Order: sequence, then C-alpha cells, then structure tokens
Amino acid sequence: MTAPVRRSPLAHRKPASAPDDLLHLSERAFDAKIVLRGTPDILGPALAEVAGVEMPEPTRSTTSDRHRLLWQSPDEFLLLGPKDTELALLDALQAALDGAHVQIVNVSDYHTTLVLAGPKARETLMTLSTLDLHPRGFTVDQVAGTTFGHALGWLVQTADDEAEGGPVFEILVRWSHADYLFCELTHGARAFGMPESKPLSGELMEI
Amino acid sequence: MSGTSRVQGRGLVDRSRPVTFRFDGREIRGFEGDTIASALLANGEIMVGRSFKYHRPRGIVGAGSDDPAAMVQVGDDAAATDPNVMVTTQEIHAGLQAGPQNCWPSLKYDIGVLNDVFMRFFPAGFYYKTFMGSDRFRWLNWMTFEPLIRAAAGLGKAPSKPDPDSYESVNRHCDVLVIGAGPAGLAAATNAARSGARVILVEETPHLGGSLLASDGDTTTIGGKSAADWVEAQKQKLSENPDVTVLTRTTAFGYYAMNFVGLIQRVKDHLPEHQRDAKQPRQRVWRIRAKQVVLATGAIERPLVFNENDRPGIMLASAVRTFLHRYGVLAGKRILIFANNDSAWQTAFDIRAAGGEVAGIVDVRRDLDEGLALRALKAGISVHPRTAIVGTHGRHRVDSAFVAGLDDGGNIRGTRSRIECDLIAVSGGWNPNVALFAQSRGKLKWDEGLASFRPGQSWQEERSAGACNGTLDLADAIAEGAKAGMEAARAADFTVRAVKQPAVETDAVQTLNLVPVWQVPSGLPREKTKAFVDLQDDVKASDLQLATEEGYDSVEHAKRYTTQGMGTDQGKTSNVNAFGIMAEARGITVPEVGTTTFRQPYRPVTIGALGGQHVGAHFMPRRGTPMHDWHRAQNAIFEPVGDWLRARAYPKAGESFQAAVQREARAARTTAGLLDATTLGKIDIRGKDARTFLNRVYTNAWSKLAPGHCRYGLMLGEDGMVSDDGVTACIADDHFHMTTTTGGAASVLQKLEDYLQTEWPDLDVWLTTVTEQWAVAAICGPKAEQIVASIVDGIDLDPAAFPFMTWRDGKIGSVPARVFRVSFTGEVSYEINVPATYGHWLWEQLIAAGKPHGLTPYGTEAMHLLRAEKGFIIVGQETDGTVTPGDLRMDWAVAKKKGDFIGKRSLSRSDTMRDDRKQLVGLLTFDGDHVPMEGAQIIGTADEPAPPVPMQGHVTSAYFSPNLGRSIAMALIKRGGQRMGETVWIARNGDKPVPAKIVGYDFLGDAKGEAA
Amino acid sequence: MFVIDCPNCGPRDQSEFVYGGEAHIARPTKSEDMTDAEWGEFVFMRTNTKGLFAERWWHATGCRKFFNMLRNTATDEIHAVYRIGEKPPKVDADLPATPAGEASIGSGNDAVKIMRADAEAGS
Repeated sequence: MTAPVRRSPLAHRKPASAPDDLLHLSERAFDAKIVLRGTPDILGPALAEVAGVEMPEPTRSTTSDRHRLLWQSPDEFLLLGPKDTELALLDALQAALDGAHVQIVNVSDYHTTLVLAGPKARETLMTLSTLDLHPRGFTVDQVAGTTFGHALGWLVQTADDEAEGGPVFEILVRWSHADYLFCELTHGARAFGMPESKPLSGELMEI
Repeated sequence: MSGTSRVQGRGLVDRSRPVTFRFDGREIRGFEGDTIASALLANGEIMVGRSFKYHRPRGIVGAGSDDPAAMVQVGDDAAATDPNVMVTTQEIHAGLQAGPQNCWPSLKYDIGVLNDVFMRFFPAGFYYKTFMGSDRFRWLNWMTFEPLIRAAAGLGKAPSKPDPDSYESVNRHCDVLVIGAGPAGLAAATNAARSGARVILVEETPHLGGSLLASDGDTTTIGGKSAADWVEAQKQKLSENPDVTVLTRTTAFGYYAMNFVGLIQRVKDHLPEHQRDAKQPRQRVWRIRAKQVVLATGAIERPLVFNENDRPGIMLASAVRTFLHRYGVLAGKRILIFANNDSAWQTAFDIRAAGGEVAGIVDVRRDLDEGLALRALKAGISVHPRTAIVGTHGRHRVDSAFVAGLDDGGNIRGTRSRIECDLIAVSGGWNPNVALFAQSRGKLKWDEGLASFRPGQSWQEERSAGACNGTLDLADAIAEGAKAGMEAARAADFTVRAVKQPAVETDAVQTLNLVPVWQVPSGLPREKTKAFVDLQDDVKASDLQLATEEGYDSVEHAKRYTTQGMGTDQGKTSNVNAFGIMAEARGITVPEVGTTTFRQPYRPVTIGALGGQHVGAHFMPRRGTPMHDWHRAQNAIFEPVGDWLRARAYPKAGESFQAAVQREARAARTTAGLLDATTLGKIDIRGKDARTFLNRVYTNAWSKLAPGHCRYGLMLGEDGMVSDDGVTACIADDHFHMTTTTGGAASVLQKLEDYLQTEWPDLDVWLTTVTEQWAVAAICGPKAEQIVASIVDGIDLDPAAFPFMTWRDGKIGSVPARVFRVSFTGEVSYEINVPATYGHWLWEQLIAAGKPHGLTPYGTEAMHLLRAEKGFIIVGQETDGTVTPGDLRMDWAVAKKKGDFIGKRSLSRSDTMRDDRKQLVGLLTFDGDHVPMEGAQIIGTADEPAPPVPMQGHVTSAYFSPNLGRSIAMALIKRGGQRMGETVWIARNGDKPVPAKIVGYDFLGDAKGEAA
Repeated sequence: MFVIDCPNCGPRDQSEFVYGGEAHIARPTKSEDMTDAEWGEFVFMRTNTKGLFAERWWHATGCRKFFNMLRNTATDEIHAVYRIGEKPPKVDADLPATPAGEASIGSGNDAVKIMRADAEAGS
C-alpha cells in the first residue's frame, strides 16, 4: 500500500492569470469546512469559543485569524478553517455543543475553493452569475449561494476593491462542478487575456 | 446604373478608408462606415432580393432595422453563413460576401417569379384553402405539400455545419436603462447619470444621435451648439462617468417580466476578419435587470399603400434623409416625394440643398401649409396637392410614377399623368416605436394626431420619451427625455436636481398636419390593384379585405390567415397600415380593430447568441467522481446518469462492449468486482426525532434499527407510487446516513426538507447533503473479504463480527474509512467510504490489493446485470411513477402497522387495491439466447392479433446473464404475481412474438434453489 | 425571469428557485379516516387559479428554505412573500389587474388591450 495521497478536484489545473494582474484564478484546496445546523443563539457561544468568530448577519460572513464563518440560512452556517484542522474542529464543536439540537457535518471534501482576484473579477463573475455584483451591490464579507452558469456554489467576497490585488472573491464549489466552473471562469475572462481552459471531455460514450 | 451618388461633405463614413466587398458576385466599393445598403445606393443600385411568396423584386425601403424586406445571405461558408441579414444594418468590411435570397438562378432572372404571374390565384389563405380545406385535394394530405411549399417559399439558407464563432451572455444590474440614443435618449441618459445612478445606454446603430444624424446638422442648434457638437458633448459626459455604460451596435430585443431586458450586441460583425479580436465573442447577449427603464426608441415612418408600391426605388422619405446625412448618399438621381404629411417635405428640401433633383411633391392633402409651399417654391420644387400616385413603372427599379388628382371623396378624378423619377420617397406618417413598451405589457393608446398607437398606461417600471412616445418635435423630445431620465433616477432612489434644458433652434420641419390615408385609391378594380402592405410576406390590401369578408374579423386571425406582419421584420412598417385597412373594411375605427401582440424578439437574434458560451464542452457540468481519471485512463465507456458521467464498462483492447460486460459480471461472482459507487446521493440526518422522521418518509419501520446497522427503504410519493429507494445506516440513536439513487439525490433532499419545514416543523431533525463528501468504492465477490482485509485496519471482517447490513468505522493507512456491508449484487459486498479527496488513492489501493485475486472493475452496465440476476429493482427502470410497492411485490418493505408515512393512505385507494394491476415478475424466454428488448410489450397470444392489440404489460429490464448462461428479463405484467409458470409472448416490431415463461425475479436464488 | 424576494436571502433571480406548487394545502393528519375521494382531493386536485394565487417556492441554491408567495398568475405580479406557517397577507384584491383588463379565464388576447379613448392615464 502506498502512503495516502490527497487529491483535489482541480489537481489537474494550474492557476491561471490574465496579464497586468487583471485577474488571477486558482484553487485553494483542502480548507477545513464544517456545516453547522442550529440556531445562532445555540451555535454562537460554541463558535466563539472554538473558532473565535461571531455569528454573521444574514448574507454576511465573519472572520477571525484562522477562520471564516459564512451565513447560509437562518439555521445553517459554514465554518472554514486551515487545512487538516477539520477533525479537531469537529471534535471541539461536538464537545462544545454536546446535547444541543444541532448538526455538525464535515464537508471539507464536498467543496473546493476557487479564488478569483483582481480588477476584472466582478466582470468575469457577471458572465455567469445573475447577482448584482457591482461594488454597490456586493461588498466585502457578503455571501450568496447561487448558480454560476450550471454550477452551484457559495460566493463570498474576502477583500475589497481597494485592497492590493482586490477585489478577491472565493467560490465554494462542489467537487463535481469544479472543473466546469474553473473553465467557465477562464472562458468568461478571455477578453482580459486570460488563457482559456477547456473542460475535460472526450469520454467514450459510444458502444 | 453606374456612377456614384455620393454627396461631398456629408455623412459619417470615413472617405479616407475605401472598402471593397462582394454583393451578388460583384465587387462593390464603399467606405468604412457604410452599410451594404448605403454602399449599394452610392453605386446606383437598389434591388437586393425577391419577396417571400411572389418572388417580386425587392429593394431598399428603410435605412435601419425597420426595413421590411431588404435582406441578404452573408457569407458563403456552410458553417458561418447568415441568412436574413438586413442590408440596412450590416456594415461593410473587406471580405464581406453578401448574396440575394429567395431567387434562383439569379437576382434578376428568378424562376419563382412565375408565382407573380399567377398572383391572382394565390389569394389570402391560399394554402389552407387548397391543401387543407378543399375536397379536390383531400386525397392528398397537407404533410405531402408542406415541405414543397416551404422549399419554394423560405427566405435564406441556414448554415449546415457547426457555427465556428463564439458567443457570450453576460448579466448586468443597473438603476436606469435607456434604450435608444437619439435626442430623447441622450437627454435621458445624461440627466439620469447626473444623479450617480448606474446607467446603461443602448444604441442599435454604431453612432449616438438618432434622428439628429438624419438631418442637416448645420441647420439645427441645441443649447447654442450645432446638433453634431451637442451629440458629441453628451457622449463626452457619458464616457467620463464611470457609472455609465454605453453600448452601440446593440439592440434591445426583448422586454420581459420585472424589467428584465435582453440586449444583443454585435461585437465583431462589422469588422474584417483580420481585425476581429479572437478574445471577443462574435455577439454578446446582455441580460439586464434594470430598476427603471427609459424607452427612447424613436418612431418608424410608415409607407403609403398604393398601387404598385413595392417596386425597388420606392423608399421611406426618412430613409432618403438618413442615407443623405448619415452616409452622404443621394438615393436617387431624380426623386419624387409622395406624402400625406409635412415631414416628408423636409426630404425634398434636403435633396435640393444637397444639389439633388426633386421630381416634385405629390401630396394627397388639399390644405397645405403655406410656409412649406413657399419653401418648395423657393427651392424650385413643383408641388401637386390633392394628388395621388396611382401606379408605377420600371422593371427592376421604378422609372416613373403615374399620378392623378383626388376629389373631395378621396376618389380618383381626371386622367393620370406620368412623372419620370428613379426614386419615390414616401411618407404615410409616423408610428411611435412601441414594440418594447407593448412587450413590457403596457397598454397602448390611439393618437388621433399621429393616426397611430402610442404608449398609454405603463405596466412595468418604465417611461417612454421622445418620438416613441408620440413627441416628434425636437425640443419637446429633448425636454421629455431629460425629464424621463431624472424621474427614472429618482424612482431608483437617487436624488437629482432639475437643470435648465438647452434651447433648440431648427429650420427642419417640425409639424406633421397628417391626413391619414390607409389605402391610396388607384381607380382600378380591387383584383387589379397591387397595393402591398407587407412587403416581406407579400400581403396586399386586397388580401386583408378578402380576409375580413371571409370572416377573419379578429386582427389576430387575419394576421395568421394572411401572414401580415409574420416575417422577420414583425410588421414594423406595415402593421398600422394593415390595421387601418381592416378598420375601413369593417367600417370601424382602428383602435376598435386593435393590434396584434408585439412579441420578443424585436428583431431576429441568432440562436448562437442566445446559447452564449454554454455550448460544446461548456454546455453542462460533466460531473465526474474522484476516480474519473482512472476510468478514463482505462478507456472506459461512459454513460450519463443525471449530470454524472459514470463508467459503464471497461472493455479491454479488442474486446467488445458486450463481452466486457459479461466478463465483468462473471468476475464479480467468481472472484471479485469493484464498482465506483460515489454518485449515490447521501444525506446526513441528525436530531432526536430522526427515527420518527425516517418512519414517516420510508415505508418500513425504523424504530428498532440499532447503531451500527443498515436497512433498505422504499420512498413513496403521496400518490403511493415508488419514488426512490436506498439504504440508510444508523450512526447513533439520533444520527443516520441515508443514501438515495444517483438521479434522485437532489429531489429527495428537496422533498425531505419540504416535509420537515412545512408539515412537520415540530420534529427536531437536521438534514445536510454529503453526497460529494465521500468517495465510495463497492467491492463484491468471493474474494472481496480477503482484499478488503489486506488494506483496512480496525475492522474485524469476520461475518459474525461484521454481518450483512451493518457498518463499521476503520482506517485505510491513516485515512478514516466507513465500510458498509450492504449488497446490490447478492454477493458479499463492502461499500468503502473515504473523504472524496482520497477517493482516487483508495481506488488505486484496491486495484493493487485485488490484483492477485483477480479483482475486476465493473461498470454500471454490469451493475445493472448483477442486480437483475438477484432481482433487485432500479427505481426509474422497474418503476415509472405508476408502480406501488405491491406492484413490485415488495410488500415486505411496507410496515402496515406503524403510523402514517408518505403515501400510506394511497396504498388503500380503490385503484391501488385493484387485483388486476401490473406486477413485477421475472421472464425466461423459451429461447435462452434471446434477450428481449427493454420496453417490449407483453401479449397473450403467439401471433400478434390485428390492432388494437390487448397489452398485458412490458419488459422493464433484460440482459444476457453470464452467471446463469441464459437471458433473463423483468417485466410488469397484469396480475403477474398470480401467474407463475404461465406463458406470455413478447411482441416485436415486424417480427414474430417471442414466448417466455413467467417466473420469480430472484433468478440467482431460484437457480441455487433458494426461495424466490 | 422573475426576481423573487427570498425572505432570508433577499431579491434573487428566479433561476435560483424551485417551484413548490399551491400553498396552504395541509397534509391530512387522519388520512385513515378519509374516503378515497377526500384523500384524492388532497393528493391530486389543485385550483389552477388565474389571478391571485398563493404558491410555494424553494430557494434551492441559497437558504434551502420553503416560503409562500402571492402571485397574480395572469400578470406575474408578485404581491407578497411570507413565511411557511403564516397566513397570506391581505393585498388589494381587485384582480386580475392585467394591463389588458382581460377576462378571468381564457387568454383574452384581443383588441381589449387598446385603451379606450375616455380612459386617460398617465404615460
């Protein structure tokens, strides 16, 4: 048996960039990701203790040094943390919330994270998203679960337009939509000089 | 037809950049900025094609997207050719190839013109009357004729090969969307933008300015600036504002619900190949969601309907002005004006000012404005009041008009005389361009002064300004635009202070004084009058009159009967005239006739643009599992399951698909098989009421399932029909791991959330999908235990310690793994779950560990075969939404004594209790080599009787079983469960039915002598 | 394409939502006491209203919550969005206020869409 190898859904894709730092697209694999179901009053103290994050307002996210907490619904939150911390987080949250009516689920492998950064990030997203992504319509720490073309994902803005290299957006996308979305984003950014990645295809379908 | 008609010093074309293109096989010269139409006119040409039905010569009538019939085929590449391109909008560029449509063998000698000779025999409704309603032709049917008729009619040719161009659709939100960049639109956009609102301004042509570009810029001043300078100043203001987007060469084609507006931007169509940026799409669809919309789409001049009015060389008076001022082209050498209003007189004055010749002004009105008459006199233009054109002459272009006086009753009086001319500039008045307003579901209103419809009551958040609102006067239009822009910004929650609007001074005719004339009399009997209303569809006034007489009173019926307005132009220039003619024929007013429905798209949009970037490999996500690359590397054959691509079989080099399936299925029972089962839906269920919840959503009982154990469950709809199935494991008393079918994952989760949120909010249960958190490898067969034992730590695999329908946590290396001892094959089987990122690694470990034991990966086809050998159903294959658990003879999976569950009550409905329902059984064909076709009908006789054939059911699954050495099938057959051993026949298309015996469906168990 | 104002996530494009059918049809709790006809009424019968209609939507890509919506099915006007369990709010029910003033059944696709001369309205 060989040593375990962890492979991300976009292991076959290299980060892509448009000239002049107009846009950068890359995968940040293996973030710890924990879904928490429960009401904010029950979850709040545990999350503050374990991850140092406050409960976010609807459609927003909050951060601490190592964590980001995304609002997903009035009783659903997604905690992000550094790689390889998911089992420790699970245990700590489980302990802090023992006996409460909550659900704590490890979804670290369910999603991967696409990071889209640079002055053309908004326009690129607008080729796929129906959200109002104007700086007045979508701001730092805002969160939306939405569609990107035919892919589903959670969008969060992590750095504002004035920040160096900003704005920065992260999209949490499920494993099986990741390649499609990566390619759609490079396709949508063609006009900015982004090299286009073609979706994997060519599987034999004929008998 | 030689020489150029360019007028020095006019137009926006760039005379330093000559452009040569090909039309109808000939080289034509123009300048950058020309359209095909302006370049043809500059070269003295005007005929561009033939009409739809009668193949009559058709020329250039309009100067923009309102032109009814001047369409060409662009490009001669089978992949990139475009039909129905308007010569009035297509800009010329080097390499452009355009050809006439609807004529063969050539533009000027067209065989279809025979239709014209027989025009009298093609009245309104001809096709319906002849081929659908007539007794004479009843022996022939419409289907025989339709293709012939379509081939003979038709417009351009569709491309026959895949489109090589790329397209894109993008989304935008804005506060104010302004459609049209004429004087009103520019005023609206600049005034809205002052507020800080996000403004998008859309202009169909390459230039901002609209009607100002179709007039002499030196004779009009706005705010003390020449019209051209004013336009430039507005453009500057807009371009300096970062919150304003100006889109030219962009048409708003559809106004949909909630201020959702579709725009089509022609990004590269005007450029020669070498200037087309490969990074840009050919066309782009903008999907705009606007808080407020300002419609400033202008007005469309309507022609006059008179005898022989469809000859090339008969053009809208406003188009003549546009060609003169926008393109610097005099459309004719000797131009006759024919009008019923003042605005067309401006055309005569402009022609004279440009040094052209005016053959006269023929005006149907008796009372003419004295000032205008004086101006005409000064310009040396002869004026013919109370006169009408009653006929025209000229083969491929008009060469003269016949005119006659009118009496007070509007009838022809006196003799007709001839006026030589090579162009007739016509104006019947102006129709506010209300297409988008009407699409937005606004209510139209009749305007007596315009004798046309204009916006009445708005329905959505929009406002009309300028000519599209019936305001033709320039100063009024600018003021109205400014007001609309500010009001829109305010309605979008911005603040803007009113400022003084610029003063407008102009020599241009601003009055209308229209006297409506829907059909100009010709003095000829109706059947001899060729007065065309719709030039694209060849609808004559007489067709509309005939339709009315035949009872097609409703405007919508008459439209379909005559094809009025059904062409690609949507009747932009012709519809109001048609309504007027119908009103006269019925003796009622035009508003009483009403309008036909204005539909999207306003002008044709290529399908490619609507598809956008979502084509080819970008069409849909191709969902693959973490092991996908491995399957690809093995040259697996894939099949789509939902959006997933699953490995269907792994043929070896030289091996057929069927042989591979047989080999894989045999290995799974003789050594070991390995299946990628990652795609199964997985839902994590947690909460103190989780058991209660499962009891209510599954048909069987869950109260006593202990942690560590698994159970199979059937899910029904409230109608009692099987909707999904799967195995659910008890992780802890309040924690379960549910699996669903691959295709049912999303809908099951939705359904469970639905019940939890709306019916049973009192239950403390949480649901979270974990489908893609886990990669799943299912290993089965006699050697499975040995192989699993070699890589899994921490689980005692002894069947006594790890029995069937239980699960255990263990490790593979350092990776946590959850192993389920469940089986979809009947063999000893382990479904190994690891976090998805380890899936590929897990798969490789299993392949390596299984190699010495003959482990064989198998695909979904062998999986189907293996489960059928054991008689396990597949939801969606054995079921089709009409099948109950009883029909499947799976009553064992229904707990009748427990409380209510979804669909329970329906199981005791009289219909579901019928004893003659179809039931699932096994079928063994007498000939064991014959594999029936899935879906084949079951009948009760050895020979197929004459229809209607009594049907007894159908085959749901059929395979050749390598493990039983014969074919097996499952079927839903009436009363099947009570008919064991009976013979039925499987019908075949055009072949003798195949006899088969009804048996139980656990083929493998029966073969081994187990109970069925 | 509508914009639907999700009670949790705010206004979003219709493509994010899944239609959930007619609202306020409670699942019977004593179905065993119901006749086939009564049960069939619950399972199969819906009102198919033209005009003001209470319906359910599911914000599939976002909060995954069901909610109710009052929509005029003749005009696609959304009059109210409210949570599951809440009663439909009172709205001005002079309906259907279609721009064409069409009949409450049938397409009404006829000349009625032209304003009468005496019906003055702001433009």
